[in-house]
Amino acid sequence: MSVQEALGWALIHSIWEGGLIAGVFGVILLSVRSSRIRYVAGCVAMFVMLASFILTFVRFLPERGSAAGTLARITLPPWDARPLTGGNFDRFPDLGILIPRLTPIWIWGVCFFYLRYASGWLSLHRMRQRGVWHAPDYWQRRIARLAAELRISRPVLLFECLLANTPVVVGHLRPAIFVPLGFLTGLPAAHVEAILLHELAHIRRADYLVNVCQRVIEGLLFYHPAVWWISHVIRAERENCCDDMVVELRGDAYDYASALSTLEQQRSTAQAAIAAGGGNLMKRVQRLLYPKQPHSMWVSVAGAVILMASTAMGLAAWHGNNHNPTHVSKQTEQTVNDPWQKWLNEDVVYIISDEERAAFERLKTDPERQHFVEQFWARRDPTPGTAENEFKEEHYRRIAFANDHFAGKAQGWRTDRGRIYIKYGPPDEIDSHPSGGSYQRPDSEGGGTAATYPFEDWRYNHFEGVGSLTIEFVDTTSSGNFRMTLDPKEKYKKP
Amino acid sequence: MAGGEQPPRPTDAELEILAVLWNTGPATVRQVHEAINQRRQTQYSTILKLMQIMAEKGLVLRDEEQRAHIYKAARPREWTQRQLAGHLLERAFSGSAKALLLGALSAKKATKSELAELRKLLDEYAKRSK
Repeated sequence: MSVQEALGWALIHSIWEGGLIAGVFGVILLSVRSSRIRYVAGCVAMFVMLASFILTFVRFLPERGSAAGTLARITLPPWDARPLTGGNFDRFPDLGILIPRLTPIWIWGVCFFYLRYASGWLSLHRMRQRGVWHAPDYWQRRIARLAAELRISRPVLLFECLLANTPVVVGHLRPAIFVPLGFLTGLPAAHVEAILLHELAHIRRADYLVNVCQRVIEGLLFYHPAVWWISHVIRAERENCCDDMVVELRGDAYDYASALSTLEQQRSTAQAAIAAGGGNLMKRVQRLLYPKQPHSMWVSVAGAVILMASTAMGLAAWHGNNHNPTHVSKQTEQTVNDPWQKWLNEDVVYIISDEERAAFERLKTDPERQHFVEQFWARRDPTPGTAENEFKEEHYRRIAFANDHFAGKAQGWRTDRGRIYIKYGPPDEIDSHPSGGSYQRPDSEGGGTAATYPFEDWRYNHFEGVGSLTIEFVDTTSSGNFRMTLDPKEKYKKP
Repeated sequence: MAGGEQPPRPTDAELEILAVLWNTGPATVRQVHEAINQRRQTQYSTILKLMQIMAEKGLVLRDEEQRAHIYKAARPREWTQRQLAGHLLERAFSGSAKALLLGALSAKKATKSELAELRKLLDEYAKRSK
């Protein structure tokens, strides 16, 4: 399995994983009213989504990272990857076929979102450069006092900013609050202080940092609606948490709510509102004034639907690419009933070119396919014109040989040895260690003696494109299932 | 009056003076100087000089009818904001930068009807708690 495929499967699995996480999160939302707990639960849910995505990806990565690396460096003729993944494709055509397309789309999507955030960051940077003034000393002293009240140890700077149209916090290590021009003088001092306390609460809670992390995860899992939903809940609860802190400190919800409302009023008269349905202020004010509100019905319905759907999808997806090889081959043997499919995916799977495969798959009728098969062999006949096709005979002999000699749990032609044998013919020399045991290590592998698994070295004197080449097969499970490896250390038993 | 021509982009120092004028409305040089002095030490003559230049550039309008000349900003604040930011302003607060900002209010503005509703909610609460 290549990195790309692993990524593809991780993407597919993350759909149901995320759904499940969102479902659990939904249940928590239903049972908990405290904004702080809801916020923490949201952050945890988001982090778990990222972690499960990464874990799934790692799980699907090739188990032998070192072998894959070597394989890429030595320019071996490309192994036909199909027989390894064929099982998946046969059994789960819809998902498997998506994989090669998914990864590029995903990468473009991630780039898009990260570029957007980067450009946002740049324009923020520009905002801080023109038309920004330190707030009057009076307010600087005031904000320092308020910061101390919230036990913020970092110095907080207060700027008046021409380009801001609402008070905002920017920065984590050197946090700064930007307020619109006229904000400090245009509102009653108590209101200004309440709003500034809200911004300081953001700084106290390290919200800027969390928000950046949130955006990073959003960008990675942008295709998942649950991520956007959870992120949305986090944002809403974050404001609620800050509101709560202000009310706790000042003790008057009504005053604070009217401060928010006045601020919004001021902003809206300064410039005509562009978009309708703006903001969550209404909900927040409602929450401030009337803290106990019943949960809305749709949350529970949506939660239940998401839970069920993602469980179903999870089962289907795991069913779709169960990685137990014996499981896969058994299933494949059953499903390949069509003789043409059998010809394509078994008889000639190692030797048919991609163009030929594509051409064959386009054929509609049996006579056409019959003709194609005849042509296929005729093209490879070393002695055209004679009745015998030595190539075809040799090919079927190799398959029969592989099935006779290399069969384990899987059919002989499906094993690594079978594949190499069918594709490249009998090796010039085989160095066989069928029972492993003690082995005189060559100096290049560390010297001395070492216990090994059963292994075989196949030597080809004239390997196409490479010259002489030795391929090693190791049976680490002692079950007759020899696997090809390019890592000479593979055969040594771990002490 | 420089109404027909567009005034040039203000410098940082000029912007600071404009900011005072936007905040307080028409003002004398002394009033502007006092406002700016709250933030940093400046000389009265510096401000005077700056404001005379700004009047020539068309950034501020001067009313000379009274003994102490009264200055006011030639263009409203929003106009200068747009001049400075180009499309930046829209982008900064409704586009991508919004994702990185934290504020007491969301970047989206409330509509008139929402404001009215908000007002009503607060009033009802105030009435009820009396």
